[in-house]
Amino acid sequence: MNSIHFNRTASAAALLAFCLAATSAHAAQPTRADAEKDPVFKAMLTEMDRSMTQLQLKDFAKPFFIQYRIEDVDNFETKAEYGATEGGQHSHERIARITVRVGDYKTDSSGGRGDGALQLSALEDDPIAIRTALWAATDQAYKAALAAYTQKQAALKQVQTPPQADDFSKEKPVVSLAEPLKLQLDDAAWEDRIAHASGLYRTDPKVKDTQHDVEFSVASFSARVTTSWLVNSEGTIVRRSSALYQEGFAVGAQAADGMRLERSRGATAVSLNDLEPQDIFEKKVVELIASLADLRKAPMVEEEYHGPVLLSADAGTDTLRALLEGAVVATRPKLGTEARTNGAFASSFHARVLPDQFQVVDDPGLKTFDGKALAGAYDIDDEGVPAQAVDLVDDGKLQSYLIGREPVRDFPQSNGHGRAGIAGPARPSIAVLKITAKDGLSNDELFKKLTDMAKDRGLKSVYYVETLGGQLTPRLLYRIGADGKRELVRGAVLDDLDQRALRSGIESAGKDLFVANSDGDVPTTVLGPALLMGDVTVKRANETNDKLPFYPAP
Amino acid sequence: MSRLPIASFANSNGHGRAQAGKVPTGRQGNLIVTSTKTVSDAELRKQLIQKALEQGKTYGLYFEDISSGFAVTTRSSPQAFQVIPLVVYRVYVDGRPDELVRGVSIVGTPLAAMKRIVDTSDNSEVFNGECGAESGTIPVSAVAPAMLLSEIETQKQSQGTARPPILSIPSSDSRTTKEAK
Repeated sequence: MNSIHFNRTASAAALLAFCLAATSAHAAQPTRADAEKDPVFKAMLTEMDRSMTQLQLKDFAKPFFIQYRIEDVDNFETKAEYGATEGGQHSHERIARITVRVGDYKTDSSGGRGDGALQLSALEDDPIAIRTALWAATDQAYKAALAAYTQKQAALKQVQTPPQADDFSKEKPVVSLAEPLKLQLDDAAWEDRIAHASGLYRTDPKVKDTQHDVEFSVASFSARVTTSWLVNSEGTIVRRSSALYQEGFAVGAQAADGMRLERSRGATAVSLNDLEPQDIFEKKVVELIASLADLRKAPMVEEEYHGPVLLSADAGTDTLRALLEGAVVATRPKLGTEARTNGAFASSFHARVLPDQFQVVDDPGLKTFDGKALAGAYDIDDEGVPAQAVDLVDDGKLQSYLIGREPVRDFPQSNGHGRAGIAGPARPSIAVLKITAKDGLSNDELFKKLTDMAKDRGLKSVYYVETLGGQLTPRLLYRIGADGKRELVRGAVLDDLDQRALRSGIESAGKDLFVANSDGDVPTTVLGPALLMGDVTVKRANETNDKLPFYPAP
Repeated sequence: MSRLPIASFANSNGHGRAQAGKVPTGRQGNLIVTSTKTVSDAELRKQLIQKALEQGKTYGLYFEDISSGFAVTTRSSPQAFQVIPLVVYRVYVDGRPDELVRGVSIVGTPLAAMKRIVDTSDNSEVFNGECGAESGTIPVSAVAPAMLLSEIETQKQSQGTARPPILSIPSSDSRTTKEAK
């Protein structure tokens, strides 16, 4: 078993300093002096001050804003296939992202994504080593900012329509010092657990009879603790720490006609206790393997269908994520246009985007729901701005956007949604997106309404989507007869699940919300209901069916 | 030779090597170059000065250390090589001290360069390193003596135009913080 390295050189004094800082955070608002007891902050502040006062090329602008973010990322991953581990590995590094802006808040050097510079920083709390990494990247970022600022001045001369908002918002400085978490794992135990799950297809009595049909069976586990130190020249000093654990399983086979079939599940949690216990996880894995056997035998979906489709809360949440995640964020529009932002809701401010009964709020402060910890929650965003709950959609109308420190027209301030992937630049993102509908129906009521609609429209059958895979492709799709009988079908894709369907195609929604934690660029959570859609297209995927293996697996 | 035969060589001689996951090809293992015409290092240096004098030059070049090199071996391109030296001295014919120089690399075609070896040292040195080719990067060794070449082509290395850092590197000594330029 490998040991966990974290803060290898943290002396007793340094740990004591953390404790003191944490204590004073409770007692009173922490100050810069409290932060400077942490050697990482001390190094960052020293170098930032030096750069703010001295960094200038003769005859060129000085920086008006500098931000340093150092992320300590301690990571463990293990993967297993066919019942045996493929090994586990640790990685631990500190990455510094440096942002330098020249110009002023109205017009600065910022351009596209990725402004700034990156540098690996010392893992030890060696002040000179940390400062040297920051120094090298600050120099690079400043020179790049000067070039970008000149380019922007040139671009501004080419367009008649001036920018619709300032380049950078002014925000109140925040000092907040959370205590760093530590990654503590029994590596060997996790490697064994994952190996066991990946072999259930041939060891579990319920499914081992179908083991020769399985073509792959993979399980994985990853754990990551990220501690970040953020300082900027406006006086913000923020230390945060978060953990993320993921356990996943995927199994695949081919039907007799060659169609590739796959089932998978992934759990994302903010603490080990929030992951499912091993027996529950394995029970669900066995269900997935069994469902694969059912899918192999399932008939093909009909060639094309238009009509009512019920999306389970799981599938409904995936659909809402796909259609809303990118649409509700506000990003700087193309220079020279009058656009407010980009994306599907660029011109939808105050317009209808969902039926009347829908409310959408993004609340990073919502830490748990239904007893489940939410991965998207946080207190302060990656630009040092306190998180705010934002009422995005009220009675079906879009009332706001999620935004970071790059303003758009009518939104001059951040609402604490500037979020950054590890080592990445901050950009607006959802955190905990909660979609609710007034007068939501129970599952039984939804199914009744679905079959009633079938009768009203004279349809022999309708569809129910239990789970979706990537690109909103159904994994488990049921054809439901007029008598309510369910039949699993395979080989379908959905069409016409778009913004218009969201706006005017939802007949009813469920009252219970599904919790979907996800780790994309940043951890996010979507809470959404089941959706009964009035008119969705279900049709055959018609993908190439590869030859089956020439002989069965061992 | 690997197990991929070529004209006149039907069998592998146990040199089929590859990086993990790649298809093996015939690769170098321990390449040992010996010479029957050797002199001491001191004598080799005298000969270098003599050759420079004969060619009417004020100095010869002594390559002490190199970082890397490469050769083009495809049939569609000229067979050329380049070596990037790290430590190079001008050895003056008039007895001035050797002068360290920078920004020079060695170029040429292998056969022409090999023909101009006039003498070798009686002292060989070992090179251990990694070499990349079609079958990936593998560890290789070479053993060879110092060589005096009567003529070799050099060219200037490309050099950046990046401005040096504006502020000085951080240090615990605050006095070293230089003024911004």
